[in-house]
Amino acid sequence: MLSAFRSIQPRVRRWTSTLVIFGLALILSGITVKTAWRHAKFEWLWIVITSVGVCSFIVAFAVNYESILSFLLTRRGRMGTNALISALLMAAIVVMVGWIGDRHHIRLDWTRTKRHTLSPQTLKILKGLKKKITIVGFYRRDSFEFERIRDLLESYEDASPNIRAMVVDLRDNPLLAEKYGVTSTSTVVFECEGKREVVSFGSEQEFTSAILKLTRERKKKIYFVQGHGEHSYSSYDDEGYSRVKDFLEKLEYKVEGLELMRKQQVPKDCDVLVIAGPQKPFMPEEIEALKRYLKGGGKALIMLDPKSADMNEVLEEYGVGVKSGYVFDIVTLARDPRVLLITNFEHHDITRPFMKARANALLLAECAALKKSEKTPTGYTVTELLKTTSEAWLKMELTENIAPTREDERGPFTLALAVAPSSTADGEKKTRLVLIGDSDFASNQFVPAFYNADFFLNTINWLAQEEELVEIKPREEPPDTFMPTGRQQLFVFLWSVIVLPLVVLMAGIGVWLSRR
Amino acid sequence: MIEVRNLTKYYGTLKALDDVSFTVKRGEVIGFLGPNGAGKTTAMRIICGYLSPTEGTAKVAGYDVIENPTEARKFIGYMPETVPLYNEMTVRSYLHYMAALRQVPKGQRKERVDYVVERCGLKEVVDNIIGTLSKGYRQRVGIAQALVHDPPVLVLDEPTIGLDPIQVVEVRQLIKELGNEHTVILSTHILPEVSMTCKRVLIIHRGRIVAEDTPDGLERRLRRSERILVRLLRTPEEAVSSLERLPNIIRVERVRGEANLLAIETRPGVDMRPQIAEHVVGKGWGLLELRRDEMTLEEIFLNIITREEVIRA
Amino acid sequence: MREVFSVSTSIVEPTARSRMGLRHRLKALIRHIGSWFYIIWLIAWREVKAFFTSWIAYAMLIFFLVLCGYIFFAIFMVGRTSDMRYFFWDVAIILMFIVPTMTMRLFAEERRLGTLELLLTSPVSDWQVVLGKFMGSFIVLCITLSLTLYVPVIVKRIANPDLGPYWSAYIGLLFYGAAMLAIGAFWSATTDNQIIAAIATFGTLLMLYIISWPAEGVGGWSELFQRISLYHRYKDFADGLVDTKHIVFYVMLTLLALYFAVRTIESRLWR
Repeated sequence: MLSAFRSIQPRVRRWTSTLVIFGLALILSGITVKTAWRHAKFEWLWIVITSVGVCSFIVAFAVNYESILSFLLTRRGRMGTNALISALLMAAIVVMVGWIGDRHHIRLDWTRTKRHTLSPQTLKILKGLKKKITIVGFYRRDSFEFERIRDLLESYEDASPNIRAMVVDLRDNPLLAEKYGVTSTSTVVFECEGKREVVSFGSEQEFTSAILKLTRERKKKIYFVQGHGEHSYSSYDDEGYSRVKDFLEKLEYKVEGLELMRKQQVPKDCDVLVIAGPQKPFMPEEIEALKRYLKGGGKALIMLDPKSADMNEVLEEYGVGVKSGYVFDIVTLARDPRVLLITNFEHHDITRPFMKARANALLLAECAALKKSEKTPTGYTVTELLKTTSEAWLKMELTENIAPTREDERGPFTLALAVAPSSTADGEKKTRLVLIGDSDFASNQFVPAFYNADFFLNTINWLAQEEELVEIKPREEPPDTFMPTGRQQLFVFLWSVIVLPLVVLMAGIGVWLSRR
Repeated sequence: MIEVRNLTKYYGTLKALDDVSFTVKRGEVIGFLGPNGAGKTTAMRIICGYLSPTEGTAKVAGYDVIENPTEARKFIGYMPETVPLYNEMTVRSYLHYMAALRQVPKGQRKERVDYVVERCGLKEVVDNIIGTLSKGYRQRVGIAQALVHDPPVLVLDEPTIGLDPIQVVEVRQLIKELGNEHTVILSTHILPEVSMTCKRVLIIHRGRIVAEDTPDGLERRLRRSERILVRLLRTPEEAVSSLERLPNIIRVERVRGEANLLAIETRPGVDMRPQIAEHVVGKGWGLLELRRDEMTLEEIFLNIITREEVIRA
Repeated sequence: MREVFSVSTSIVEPTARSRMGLRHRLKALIRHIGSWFYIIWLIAWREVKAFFTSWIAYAMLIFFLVLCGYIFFAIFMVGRTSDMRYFFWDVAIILMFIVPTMTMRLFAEERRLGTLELLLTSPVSDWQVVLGKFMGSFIVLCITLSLTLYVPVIVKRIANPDLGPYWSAYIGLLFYGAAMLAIGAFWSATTDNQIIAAIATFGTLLMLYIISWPAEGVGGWSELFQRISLYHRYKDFADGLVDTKHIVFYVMLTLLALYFAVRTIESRLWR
């Protein structure tokens, strides 16, 4: 064997350079075939080509091994190989550090509006994601949207290891589009375990809601009690709650009305019951139904105005109640003294994001003061959420003169309360109750103001035990508009195009002169 | 101070140095002598740590120039063949920069710069921009930068190349003076320079050291015969043959172009001058001059190189 | 006098060294590191001074400032927006043209003059030389960029800008510029011809710029191309995003290019 090798060695050695070039060409074309020309039938082709290339390399090395070895033993050979190996090593280290840096990185958003940062809500949802989701966006590469959507989806990818996202041009990837059944551009497809959601012309809110849709096992149901003159969840007028309903549906809740009078009981599939400012009193059967519901671990949001129906019978079991009278405060919107600006938040899961973001302004209109009985029912904790200032006062009647008098009760008054089982209580009691001394703040008229929508949605999310949704949306800032005067225009042009370059030119001439 | 062992250097397949070994003691001035391309510059670059040898070692003050380059370089002041100057700097700032680069402590830099400016005669041009200097001044700035950190060893590659005769004399004088305080290695392809400035000469040819001695010793060692020149008043035909008959005389011939000058080659080690004088006076040819002919380094150099060639062939 | 130097610069008697306490050793170490960086500073500063004595520096600066100024005027006064994203994107493109002029001379010129030999036979390591030169060109870059600082000042005066993205863009320009300078330094180290160094640098930068153009497809090569595109990564900075992954990329690229520059300088020893 060895002697046979010896005998052909000198003959083959003449072909060394050919072998090396041949091998290199084959390896390169093998890699090209592997990456560029994927054909199912010839999957094996690149392996064959590459291995032939490697073989010819090995042969070239083998027939020259003596001279290669002796070269390696000289100082030049040693230092050269040393340099080569350490260069490769360095390159490998750099690539590795770069790779690690790509995976584990921190993104700082220096824009004032946090343009590149996902809302805390989205982040929370993504953090809790347990299923793998593939996101494919189809956008025209030359559109401005392309970059924006890709960056956005990239931050989705960064936020969860379970998300894989890409943005492609529909025209370049017809096969992919066919696979996802996409025919028009500006579309993002979300896929999870075979289920698909398609969002067209979407932005963060739509995308996050698509993810929620895909990952929710069951849609949670919210019932709005109807029939006592409550705010209508489907009405579009100022008093209506249609905006709130839209928000809820984006968060993947199912919203329905409930005629308690007819049903005589709260449905079993009710996750959150909302009573929004009833004006007519509840029938005893209805009161019973509500009591049953709450006792059985129900969750309810009860919003009562000063002239609302009396519900203290239901409430007192949980150590809370409504005082009669109207609350006024010194912090108010100038036009209407009944409209209060609330800045005092107490610590609770619902209010935590507001305190964190210092977003502490909430608009309530015509409020009722709430009370907390001395004795908290066993197994429950009652937390105050919103309070007026200590300057506030309570008027029994709404008259022309609302200025505080001596006999008026003074604040601070509680405007919102949350009742939840104490953490020490056993698992049986799951009742959660939020009582708010106003129902107008969530109406179509007031819900866009300040952080009203956030407060309402957070309350629902907390009641529905969707704590990851309890967050607030950052505000958008309008674009910077300004009108430069003619003088300003002239100044900017002169300074940036003429004066500054001229100064540099003078400096250059100065240096030149001083060196002569 | 400098210890060079078995240096071999290949540029590709070209052998620039071939098994070169020598040592230089503290305070010595040695000269590398050889034609262009003999390997002088290569040897110097290796000593200064600019190049590394293919094989062999070089040590400066006990530090290997490959293993311990930074330490070794601290002992060397080097002036490469093409005088390396930043043309846009002034002489003073250039020297300051070089002093700082060679780690002269901050407090002593000004003093050192002033010293080398004085020493190298750069006083008039010290604030001039280097790009405007004449060749002679540039050369002196080159030497000044090699001196600025007061290195024990000076390595000067062709320090007088391209200078006019007056400048050459000045630079040689400077080197001679420096030889009193520094160990100096200089290379040249001009012979008189070596005999004028060096205490020892290494003749390098085709990458090998072909001879190593003092300038005097070299002459003596390589002199295969001694030559005596005799100038006569009259030189009859028979003078040549009659002189040749004296003992220990190898050959007598007339020096071409001189009417009455005879060159007499004698066996080495015997001084034949008394006998020759006696003979000439006895014949009544009229002795005008009688002297030993000194063989020049040029001749020796050629001699060595041609002998080398013969051996190779 | 010579004795004074040799003692003070390097050689401490071994017995004396062992007698030194930890504090003294620490002090000596700090001094040692200090002098290491001092040399780098020396080389860098000389480089800066040399650069600003050549007319190329001023031609480059005027070219840069006129273009930047015009683009700024167009976006700010004609486009009437204080969002300077496009301005900073364009600055990065212009930088690509002027970086070669900052780096081409670094080694090529010294090699041509022979001063490189002087530098490399001084008691200075190759890394110090390369880092010094790189630092020099980086200072030049900083000076160049600082001349555009009138942009935030003027915008702040006239409009109500969100200045966050401005500063992140400047940070991005520094890292992006450093990577380009390192590539330029590498090319300069390979040749003794400034023009060749400049052309090779520009060619490399251009390639690293356009490499992301056909890259919006799916998977494999395109993703890789985007990842190594210098300019593509910079865009995020101008958008107000400071992402450590981009910084790591630029720093690593800078290190790699400088490392290869050192290796190239060093290759004289074994080639």
